Amino acid sequence: MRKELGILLLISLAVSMLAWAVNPDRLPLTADISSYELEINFDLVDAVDAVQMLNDNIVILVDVRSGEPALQLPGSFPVRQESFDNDFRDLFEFILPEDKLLLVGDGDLMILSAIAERVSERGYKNLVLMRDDISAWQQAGGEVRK
Amino acid sequence: MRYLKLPDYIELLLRLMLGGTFVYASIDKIFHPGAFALSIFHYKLVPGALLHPLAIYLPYLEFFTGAALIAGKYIKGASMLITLMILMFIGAISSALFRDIDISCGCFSTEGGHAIGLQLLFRDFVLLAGSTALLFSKVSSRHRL
Repeated sequence: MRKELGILLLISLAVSMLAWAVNPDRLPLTADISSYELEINFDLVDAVDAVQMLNDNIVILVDVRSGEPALQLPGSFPVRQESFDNDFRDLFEFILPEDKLLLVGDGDLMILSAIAERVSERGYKNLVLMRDDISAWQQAGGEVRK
Repeated sequence: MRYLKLPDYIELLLRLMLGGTFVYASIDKIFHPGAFALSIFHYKLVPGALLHPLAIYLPYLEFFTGAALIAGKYIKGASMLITLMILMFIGAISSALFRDIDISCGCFSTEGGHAIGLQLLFRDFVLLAGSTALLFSKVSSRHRL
């Protein structure tokens, strides 16, 4: 029995390691727990799905990148961490609590999460967060303006 | 050690049922380890350092133990590992139920699947009865595939 256990455990280990090593999209061995926390609290999508949602007109685009980014997102509402209250006041005039907001950042999930929490605290719970950055957004066919 | 005496056809049926269940359960997880890691994370039982290694390794263990039972090879070892895995699943589901966490089990599909509940726990106990019977039965070699 011990030999059988050893063989099965080792075969599984060897094949799983091999499959992991040859997979170009392999999962990193160390998990980024904050991204999992985020995934539980909010709907997290990749750039392709985010662009699709915008094209289907089912979301309002919110740009959460800080400062004045070189590439602007046409039709988006800026809500930056450093000027959150002022930016949110501008956005507030155009949205209803049931509206679906697509939050797009520069790929930093911590910042995205922090802003999503603040928006959520103000009663806007229908949030979708894009996990990718703007270059992925561009590659997915998302519109940008210089 | 005293063994159970199972009729050959019952033993074959148990092997195919358990083996088939575990092979089937492993396929989606093998192809979507990231989604499976999220399913594991939902239970809030596994430390962060073990999350991805477990999500990568466990589906293959399910696959090879299931395949071994179907093929009739290493039956004792496979039924022992399957028994341990089912006990682990029962522990995880019971713990989530106790803590009132509303999640899907991630048993067969990484996209949703069954919500955890007593029905799921009952199913796992049925599987546990099967694997325990195999573990303590005198295995014949007549029905190897």
